[in-house]
Amino acid sequence: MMELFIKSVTNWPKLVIALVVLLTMGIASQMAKMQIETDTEAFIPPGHQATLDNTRMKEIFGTPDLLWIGVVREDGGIYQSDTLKVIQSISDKVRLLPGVVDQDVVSIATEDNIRGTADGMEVEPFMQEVPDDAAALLSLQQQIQGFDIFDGFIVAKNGAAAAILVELEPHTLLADRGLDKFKLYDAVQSIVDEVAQGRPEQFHVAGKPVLEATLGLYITEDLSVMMPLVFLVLSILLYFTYRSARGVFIPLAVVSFSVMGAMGIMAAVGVPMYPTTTMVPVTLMAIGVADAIHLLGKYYELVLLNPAIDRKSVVRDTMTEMWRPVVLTSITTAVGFLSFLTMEMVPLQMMGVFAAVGIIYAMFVSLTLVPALLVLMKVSAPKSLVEKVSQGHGLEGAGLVSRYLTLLGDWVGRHVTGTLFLTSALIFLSAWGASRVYVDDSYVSNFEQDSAIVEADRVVNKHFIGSYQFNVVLEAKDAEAFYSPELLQAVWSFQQEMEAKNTIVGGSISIVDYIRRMHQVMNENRPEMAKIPESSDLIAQYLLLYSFSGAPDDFAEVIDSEYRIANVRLFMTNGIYSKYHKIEADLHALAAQYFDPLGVQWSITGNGHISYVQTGMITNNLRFNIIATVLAIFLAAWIMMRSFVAGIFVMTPVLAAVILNFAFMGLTGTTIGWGSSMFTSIAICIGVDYAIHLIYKYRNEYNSLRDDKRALTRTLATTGKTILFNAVVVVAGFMVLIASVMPPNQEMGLLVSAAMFSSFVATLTVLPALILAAKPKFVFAGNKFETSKEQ
Amino acid sequence: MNIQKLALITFAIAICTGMAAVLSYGEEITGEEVMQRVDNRDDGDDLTQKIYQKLIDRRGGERERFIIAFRKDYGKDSKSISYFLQPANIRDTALLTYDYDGTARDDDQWLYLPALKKVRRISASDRGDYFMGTDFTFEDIKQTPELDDYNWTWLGTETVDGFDCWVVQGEPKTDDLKKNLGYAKTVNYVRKDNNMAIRIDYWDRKGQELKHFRIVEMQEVQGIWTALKMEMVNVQTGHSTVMVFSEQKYNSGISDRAFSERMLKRGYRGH
Repeated sequence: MMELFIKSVTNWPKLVIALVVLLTMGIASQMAKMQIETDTEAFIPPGHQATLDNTRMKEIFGTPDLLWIGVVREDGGIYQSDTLKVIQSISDKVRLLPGVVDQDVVSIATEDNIRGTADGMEVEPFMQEVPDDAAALLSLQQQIQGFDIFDGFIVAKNGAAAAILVELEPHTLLADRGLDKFKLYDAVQSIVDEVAQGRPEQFHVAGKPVLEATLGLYITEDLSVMMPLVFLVLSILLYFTYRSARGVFIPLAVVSFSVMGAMGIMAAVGVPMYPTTTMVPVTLMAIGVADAIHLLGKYYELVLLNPAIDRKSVVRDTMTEMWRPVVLTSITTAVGFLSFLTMEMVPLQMMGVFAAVGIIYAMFVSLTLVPALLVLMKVSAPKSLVEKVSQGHGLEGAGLVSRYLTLLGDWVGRHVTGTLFLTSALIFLSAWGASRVYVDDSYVSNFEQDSAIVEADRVVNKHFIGSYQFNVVLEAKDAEAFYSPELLQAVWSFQQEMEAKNTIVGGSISIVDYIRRMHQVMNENRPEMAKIPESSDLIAQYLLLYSFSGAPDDFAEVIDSEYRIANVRLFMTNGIYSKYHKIEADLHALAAQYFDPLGVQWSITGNGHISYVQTGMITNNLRFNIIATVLAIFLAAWIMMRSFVAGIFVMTPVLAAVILNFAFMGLTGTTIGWGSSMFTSIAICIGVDYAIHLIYKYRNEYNSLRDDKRALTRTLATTGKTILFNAVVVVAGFMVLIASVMPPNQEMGLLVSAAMFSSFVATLTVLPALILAAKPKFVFAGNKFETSKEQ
Repeated sequence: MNIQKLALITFAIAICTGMAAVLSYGEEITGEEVMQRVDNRDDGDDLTQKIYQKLIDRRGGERERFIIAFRKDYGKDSKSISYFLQPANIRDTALLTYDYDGTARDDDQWLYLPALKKVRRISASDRGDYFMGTDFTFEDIKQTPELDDYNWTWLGTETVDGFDCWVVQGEPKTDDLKKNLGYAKTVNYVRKDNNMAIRIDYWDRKGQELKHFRIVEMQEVQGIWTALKMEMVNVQTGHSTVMVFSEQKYNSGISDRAFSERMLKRGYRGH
């Protein structure tokens, strides 16, 4: 079957090339349809409790994700007419943007003060007009500072900065109007830039929507700058390895075709680009190069042994020997990536699925395009190598690298136990390093630390109550339950304790804050009257009184219209996962303590909670995923090589590499986040190729030489060299990413390089030592699985 | 001049006037005139009625209030007093309003809070402020806008719910007025037969449709066209308000003393 296929490909190379190119271009044309998805909620499965709770919260109280515009004035603070005018101007312009909820632009220029007067309560803007005399400015400052909710929320407590909070319409509504968070963020930014011209204030735009909107795009943009560089470095290295155009052209063709294939299919089936799937092209580069390098390696090996061979025969011989390891490694790796489906999060699943698709595509290209191209090229091999081989050095003497690898093979052959002890020691050491790895993640850590976005996040969270939110939704049984002083008191105590126990809780807002304020202003503004009234009738009447000058939706974000469901908004100044353990624990404990006895149901939501759940899922998933990936690869190898022991042998160097990789993460202080969690499994999938190629070659060599040590040196001199080339090329390519400005991409460059290196070392040392020590039947008992496949 | 000449001249003038009227055919009336008719509509000299208010949020959550309201006109000005009957926690809360014609003088409003046993004066509101948590602003609730504040444009004639209506667009004259009222534009559908605006659509300052007002049910009571049920839907937030009016009594000669602070505190004694 396969023979016929190889024959056909080599007989009609031009037709094959045309078909493959057309097919790939057709698929690639779909890439124009690609959507980008960076919403954190997309990471959590739709049916998950956290998603349900959050969706419900948004349904009842509107979207809680705020964009923060911070206006900082260092000389004399923001209580100056010109600065207030700037704030007013930004507020006025932003609220007219399509996609911004008009009533929910919150700033000193938009908000109402609840004020006591001689004969009642007045709800009126803090600033009807921008005040211009000192007395009026001072009075404005006193009014803000006298109103708990706004002090620290829309103006920094020290008066040095003011915030304009912008609420965006929900995702779906934006999409209906052809908008997205990023465009809106851009529009806001350009309003701010325009107003900022020549002003003494500093302006910062921050908040979860900003981070979300920009992260995915920044990563993608950064990759699109870095990828050509990676390509360039790969090309240079490939050229120095092979000193021929085909040595550069063929691997790059496989890589680009598989990337286009995978991305095109992804776009065609409507899967959006998640931050995770940006890693698919990078992964495919590492793997696609391997397929081509192994084919070329074999091709040159045959040419060196028989320089007079004709082009069709050499390609046919190459393919006849190599199609099996190419198919085997591709399927094993693809199965390994498909194990990502066991993870709960869709973006991670999709990363695995489309890496697998790309790998199969690379395999397809390697089996069609590559032999077709080679047939069309004149047979040739690097001259220096030809001379050396013909001078009687044999394959082992072909080049400096081959000679060193022969020495290595020789050494390992003589020191099997030594090699095993040495690596064991290294693994024990690594285990110590690996044990220092922990889970941590924050959106901000994904950006360059001195970028404007990180600076904005820092400034906004320094001056105001915090741009990250937890929302505690309280649901009572009956309407008007939140007129009850007892329940309101419980809510108030809950807020107070959360703030007291956690320094990163910058503040909180609930209906209680408003009711306390009303009670105070209705009692001559006496500070001691800022408390919850004792009668629920009075609370109802205050709210009625309020409704004569307030808007019907003034409290919509904290209470539903029946006064049955309340939203306690807690603001955090920090988005770091590891700090949220205690927040979550306190929230649960205090909510149970205060609300369970009153029969009020509670649930914890908000973007902080979503991040927490998401990162938590990564932790729980990672352990499971490492096991699943290893098992999947083991099973694939077992079934395809028809040997249980073979499965174990394929897996072992990979496990060693994983341990080394974790050690590396531990030593470099890399934490487990959504990005780095994938690198481990990616490393497993890439590393397994090395092992399969080595085992395959060794068995063939042993079958022809019948000498285990000689077979080893020969294997290392040929396939070992190819593996080394592969590793060097890919490691160097990935090292380029370390120069990236995006920390996740730097991390990827570092970790994938490290993984390739450790896989390479393990494959060339531990694996041969194991084979020599254990003498497994699947290697030494003849051609069993090869012949059985031949039928 | 003899009498004959006078008669001839009078006749000539009559013919000219008549022909002018004939030749002006097709110009219809101006938007301003339509709105003037709405403003001049007879609504009795005083009125007692029960009001049922239902506030519906976008998830269908409802809040209800029952109110009994008295109104008396004093020329172009009017006074009214409303007592809340339900829900229980605001029972006996009462609202007294002195409504002055034009924008020169702010309306006066007082609210009695039984839980505090105090009368609170409610400060003059912006006309665009929402009224008691409903979807009606203070401007909307009066049912006739201040005509001088808008440029009125006659848009044509349309049939709404089977009735022949004038369609008039109102645009607040200045940006300040637009900001103050919260509208960039309104389109009013006025029934030709009784001069009632039975449908009004509102646009916000971004040019997006904001609210729909409809009179759902109406009837002649004591010869005066009276809305029995009306609704206001905020199409942006999904919040809506339904008001049902019943037990109307026009021109019953309500005493001036009914509109005093003393009566505000005393509460409603009927049922």
